[in-house]
Amino acid sequence: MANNKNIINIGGGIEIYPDKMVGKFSRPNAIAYEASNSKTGAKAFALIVPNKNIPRLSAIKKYSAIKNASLIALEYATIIEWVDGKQYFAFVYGYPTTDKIIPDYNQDFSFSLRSDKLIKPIIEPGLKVLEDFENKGITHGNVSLDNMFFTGDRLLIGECLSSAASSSIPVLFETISKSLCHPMGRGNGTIKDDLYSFGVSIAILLRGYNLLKNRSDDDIIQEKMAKGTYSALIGKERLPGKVSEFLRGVLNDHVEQRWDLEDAINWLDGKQRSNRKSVLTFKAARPYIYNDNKISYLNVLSHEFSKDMKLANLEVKKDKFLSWVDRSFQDNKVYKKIEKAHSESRDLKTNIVNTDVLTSKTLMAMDQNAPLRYKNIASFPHALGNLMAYLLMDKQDIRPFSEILGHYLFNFWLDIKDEPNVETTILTRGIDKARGEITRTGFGSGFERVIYMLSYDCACISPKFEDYFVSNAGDLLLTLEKMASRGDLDKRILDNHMIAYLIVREPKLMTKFLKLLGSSDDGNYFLGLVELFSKLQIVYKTGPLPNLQLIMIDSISPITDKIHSVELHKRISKSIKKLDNNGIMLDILSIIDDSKMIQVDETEFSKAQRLYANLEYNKQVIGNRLKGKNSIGKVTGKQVSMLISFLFSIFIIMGYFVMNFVVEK
Amino acid sequence: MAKKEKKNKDSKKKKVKFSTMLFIASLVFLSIVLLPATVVLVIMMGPTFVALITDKDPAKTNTVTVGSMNIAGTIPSFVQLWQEGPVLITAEKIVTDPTNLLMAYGAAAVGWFIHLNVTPIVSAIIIKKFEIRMKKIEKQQEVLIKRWGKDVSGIRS
Repeated sequence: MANNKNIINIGGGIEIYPDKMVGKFSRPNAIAYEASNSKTGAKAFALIVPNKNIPRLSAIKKYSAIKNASLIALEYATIIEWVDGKQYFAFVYGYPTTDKIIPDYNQDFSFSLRSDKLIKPIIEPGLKVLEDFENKGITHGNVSLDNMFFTGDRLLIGECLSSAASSSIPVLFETISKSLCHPMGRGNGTIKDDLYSFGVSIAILLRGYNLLKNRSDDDIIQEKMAKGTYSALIGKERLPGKVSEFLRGVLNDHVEQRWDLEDAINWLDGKQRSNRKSVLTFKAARPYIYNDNKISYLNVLSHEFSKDMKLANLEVKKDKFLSWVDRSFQDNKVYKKIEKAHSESRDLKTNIVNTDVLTSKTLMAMDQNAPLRYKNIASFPHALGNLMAYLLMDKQDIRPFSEILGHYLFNFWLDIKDEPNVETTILTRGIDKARGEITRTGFGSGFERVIYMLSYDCACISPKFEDYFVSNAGDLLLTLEKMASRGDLDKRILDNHMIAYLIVREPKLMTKFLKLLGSSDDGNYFLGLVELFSKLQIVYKTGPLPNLQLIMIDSISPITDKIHSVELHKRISKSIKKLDNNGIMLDILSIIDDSKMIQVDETEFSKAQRLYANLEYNKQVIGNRLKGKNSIGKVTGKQVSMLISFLFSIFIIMGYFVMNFVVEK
Repeated sequence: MAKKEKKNKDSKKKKVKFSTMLFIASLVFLSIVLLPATVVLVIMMGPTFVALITDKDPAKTNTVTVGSMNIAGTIPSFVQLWQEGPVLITAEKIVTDPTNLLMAYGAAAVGWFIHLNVTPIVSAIIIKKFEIRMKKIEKQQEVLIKRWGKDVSGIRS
């Protein structure tokens, strides 16, 4: 990749021009730049995603597989090194030869197609795109007038991968329940949500005017809640029958009654649609007065409560509120749910009501379609991971997540639903695991692990990777290589984020090395690291990693220090030098990971230590003896003198007798 | 009980005293009966008695060393006493003969010479042996350190 400041080559023959921004294709969370395919000569644009964003990495493959002329085609998706020296994720799309369908939905606009003339060039292609998404098992999550283009005879829907699903849609295009969330807490949603967003876009086009233009998000939500989305957008205008039917179907605020894609396609084909159970919205006979507002609907009141949770903490406990709920709604289901919220908000040990929990559960009971709201968090459970990651990157407090899991709020959220969703089983299992994990303090545990468990799209958001984008274990290795080349690596290379990320994304691989990596012994940690890197290098075919290898060789001392034999030590050092910085991690491993060799060395060393200690003892004993040099050997010397004298005297006596008696005879 | 033990101890003391007394009495009796031999022995073995008095070693090795040689030098005088008749006149003649005295005392002097010279030689040999052993140990330790590093000594390098 030969990059200069004016052109960035990202592979596949694609060149990005950093000095040519294309505003009309930029998204709220990503900036578009002109690009081209040098092989085909085709024009393209690249969306550069800032690292605080969470692009939909898991949907890339499926999006690419959708071949539909009414959807902007994805040409390439990869990590790039930008002109500021930082890494970002980039999506390269085919360049639409047209402009946005309308320049700004908050301004007056003129659109040539009206009423039923919209069906063929706009609604039909839009529905076909959504049908393709449904067939691939994903949602678009980014349908809005901001992201639609019109060629003059055909609609073109923009991309949806540069940010988490629904996170960059204006509240106007979002369903009421999803509008109540933090944008990152909206989650992938369903194709019905996409249909709703599509319906809002069509309604504005048809109306030729945005009745909710320049209104605040809260005003839009309140207007939709009070009048219903259809009325809020269309007003008193009479629309042609066919289109009006479509809009009433897809903009229905009751999710059970809202059309699904099958209904919409049937409508398009002129077929009969399935009958749906009607859902009644209960209106209180007498309004509830809260903050000087008269409120007659429970969902509206719950939304009002959620605006100031501390105030709501006081309100939900008031008898006035409870008796209003009891008297105002003939169906006493809600009252029973609120009673359940009260009984299940007591601490089992102290029997004291946890007010934050009570408010959260009461809000769930009041509006079962609303997201989970707790303190400053408002999110659908399947988006908890994304929201947690986003808030952490934004350096905000993430402690409430631990409380959400600890107080089983998600379980309550499911329990109070009139029609439990069977698709939540996997999510429930995931949340249960996360609950056990979030309070753990072990290596690779804690909130870091929970983020990756609950957010499949989240890149590794280690603080060390602020300037990098790590979307898989292979990227992690390559990033470490890059950091090594810049001298940015710490002694303990992997932090808790990286370990947690690898455990969740590569569970099979990590179980092998977790014990070694979690060891406080530097030697074991280092061995685990080399083993992990070797494995990742092979699995992800990263190519040579010379800088990382150099760092590993420099920090090899904890392993070689374990080898006692000087000769073996020298031999290993020689072998390491021979590697000649080839960047192959396995080569280091083959030198140091010979358990038999290390075991023999250890046994022999123990023997040598014992021998040395014995010799030292003997040395001391002899030394002590030599200290008394004057007395040493005296006893023996006297004994020897005695023996010599005795033998000599015997010899003399014998000699005397022999000379005087034997010889004389 | 305590009284009984005391009685036993006393009887033992009495027994030791009695045997010593008996030995001394026998010795006195023998020395009176064999007076000429006693005279020769006492005079000729003088150096041994001196060694016995000055020897502080409980094993009395010095006494044995001097005594052995002293006896070897005294034997000819005893033989002469035996051959010329064991009477006091003969004993007097023998003990006043300078040759006999020189033989007995000269032999004792050789005993002293052995004692004074052999002991330091043996001591020096033993010291040397220890020093050689010490060097051998140090060499063995050096080999171990060369092979295993200073850690083998238990001191982290």
